[in-house]
Order: sequence, then structure tokens, then C-alpha cells
Amino acid sequence: MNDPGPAPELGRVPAADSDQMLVERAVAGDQRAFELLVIKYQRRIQRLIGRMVRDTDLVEDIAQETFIRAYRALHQFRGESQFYTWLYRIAANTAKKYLLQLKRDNVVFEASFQSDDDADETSRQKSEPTTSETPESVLAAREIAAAVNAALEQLPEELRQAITLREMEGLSYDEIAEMMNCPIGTVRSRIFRAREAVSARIKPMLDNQSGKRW
Amino acid sequence: MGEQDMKQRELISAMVDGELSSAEVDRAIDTLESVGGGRSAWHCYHLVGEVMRGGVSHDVRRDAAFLQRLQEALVQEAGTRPAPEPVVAKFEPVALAVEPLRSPAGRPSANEARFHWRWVAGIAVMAVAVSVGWMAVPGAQQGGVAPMLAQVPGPVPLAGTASAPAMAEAVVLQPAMIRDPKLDQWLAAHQQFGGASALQAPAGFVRNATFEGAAR
Repeated sequence: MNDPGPAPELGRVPAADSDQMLVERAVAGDQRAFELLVIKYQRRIQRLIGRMVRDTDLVEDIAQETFIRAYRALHQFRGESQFYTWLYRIAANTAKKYLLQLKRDNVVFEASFQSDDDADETSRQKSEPTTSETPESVLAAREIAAAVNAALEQLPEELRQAITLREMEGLSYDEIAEMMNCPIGTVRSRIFRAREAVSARIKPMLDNQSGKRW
Repeated sequence: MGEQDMKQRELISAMVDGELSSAEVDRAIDTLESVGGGRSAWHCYHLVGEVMRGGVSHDVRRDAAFLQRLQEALVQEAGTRPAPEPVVAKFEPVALAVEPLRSPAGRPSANEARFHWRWVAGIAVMAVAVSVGWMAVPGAQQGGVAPMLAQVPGPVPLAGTASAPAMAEAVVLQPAMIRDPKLDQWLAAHQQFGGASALQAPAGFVRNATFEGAAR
């Protein structure tokens, strides 16, 4: 992949809160804007719920309920906190309500009924399996991870470095530009091309499953 | 992928990183909603980052099915509330316009707009305010209570004594009560056994005293 050279310097304006803007559109009736938020956060929400609930199907049901509740209450979101923080609370409360209901019906074991208000998704070790993981889901996740790693290995050094600094280190474009000694536009371009290359590798794996497409 | 497509996807990629201005975010969202493959790119770009950070543990191949299920639920959800006006006119309305909910019997629901609950509530508030004002403001009661008091008849004069002087004369002519002087003497002699005063002590032992202060 050829580097087209330094991209024109972008005008530096304060970065907008894209979540907030998506929320505003969704509140105004644009359901597809809300769906973009779902696509962005569904895996994090499912991972959160998966720490509280054993059953994979139940995790999905609770995640669905979480997003439906969020959609109903979207007009109450004032942007005083991050959207994900707000969503996290809804997910935790929804999961607790489900578990209480199931406990009343004696469906779940006591061990499943573990929710921690203070826990966040970073509190668990990465190697620790969640209760909702099945052998199939673990295998699928491993396949995707292997494909991503293989694609990253094949990237030109400057693309790999740019996306690694962004995704692993969490650096801003400004910081990456300074570290890589290149314009911000080039950073943006490199990260984009890295993502495109990796996405091309994993897309066939995602499309094969159920025929469902975005 | 054409040049235009590349630019649009690059915009989406920058939006994933939160590195866009408001105007650019608007443009990126438009792209995501209108360009084929935009949502797929949005999903993949987020997924790549999550996989790199080791945060994906479930079967991400079910993500699209998850969204489809949710879309169906949201369409039903949208049917239960009035669809608000879209902010951006150029958006094509999503197929959310469903029949307004009606009860099985075909009656309109209680919260249907035709009942004009806001008008009813407004009229009720005004009625309460007028009632309170009526009772609170004395001037508003002219012709109400005051005239009624004025019309209350005085003591009904006895037949033949209808005039006021006649009433006074009747009072004067009442027989005087005769008091036995022995009773007064006895009370004077036994003053100390009189009833308790307001000081809760026999009145016979209470004496008045004055004090000549220096300032006087």
C-alpha cells in the first residue's frame, strides 16, 4: 500500500462529541442515528452484562432491553455525562431487574446473582472468561482476533504504528503527529488505511454467519 | 473504491476517533446513513479497535442479527409514541409511520391528541384560580356576604315596643336585685377564704405594694 504523502493539514477545530450529536438526531426522530450508537456500544454492553448473567441468550435479551430503555429515555439524556456512562447505568439496572425476576422464579443459581455497582468493564482481567462465554463464542472471538493480528502484521510499518498508537495507547491525532513527525492529515489517512486493510480481512468472516448485513 | 468513497470512509474513521468538528460530524453521519457500506465500515472500525485491545469475547458475527432484532423492536416502540419532526429535512423518513394505537374495541386511546388534554387542564387551572380569587379578594364579594350581613335582622322587638327608646325604657324598668347586707359582712370577715386569684393564692393574702425607685 503506497503512502500518498503528507495530506493537507486539517484545520484544528475543537473535536465535537459525536455521541451527543447522534443522540440529538435520534431524539429528533432519526432512528438510524440511534442505531449507530447501538453498533458502537453493543459489544461493550454485552460484555458488561455477560459478567452478571450466565446465559448467552439472556445476555442478548438484556442488551436488547437496555437499548430499548435507552431509546425511550433518550430525551432525558442531557449530555452531563458521557453517553456510555449513562448507558452503562441503564444496562446494570436492567440486568439487576432481570436477575431479581429470575431469582424470584428460581431459575438462576445464587452464583449468577452477582452484580457490583462499582465494577466497570476494566475491572476484569482480560484472560478471565466471562460467565456468558460458550465454546463457540470463544472460538469465533479467537478467529477474529487471529485475523486482525495477521492483517496488522502485514501492514506497512507507518500504518501499523499509527493505528497502534491510536487504538492501544489511546493517543490523539495531535500526539501521534508529533510522535511520528508528520502532519495530522497524514495521521488521519494512515489510521484510516490501516483500518480498511484490517476490515477487508475480517469482513468475509462477519458476513458468513447469518446472512445478516448492515 | 472511488476517490469520493475513500474520502467519506476516512471521515467515518476520524469520527470513530472523535477527531471531527461539529460540521464534519454532521457530514459523517449523513454519509453513514446514506452511503452503502457506511454502517459496515462503522462497525468494522470499532470492532478492530476493540479486538486490538482484547475486549471482544462474544461472537461478534451475531452483531448484525442483534441490530436487526433491535430495529424491529424500535419500530414497534416508535408506534407507541408520536414520531417527532425530523430535524434535517433532507433525511428520508424511516418507515416508522405506523397507525396510531387503538384499543381492541376500536375506541381511541385516552392519550390520543384529539382529547386535547392540555386544553382541559388549562381550563381546570383557570377555574381553580378564579375560585380562590373570589374567596380571597373582599372587593370581589360585593353583593355577596356583606349585604347578607347587613340584612340580618336585629332583635325582634316585642309587640308594642318596636322603637329603640321603648327598648331602653324596658331595660330601666327591670326590677333591681336585692342583696342581703349580711352576706357582704360575712364575705368581708372571711376575705382570706375567698376564691383563688389568678396568682393561684388566696386573694386575702395578696397585698398591693409600690416601689419608689431612685429614677422616679
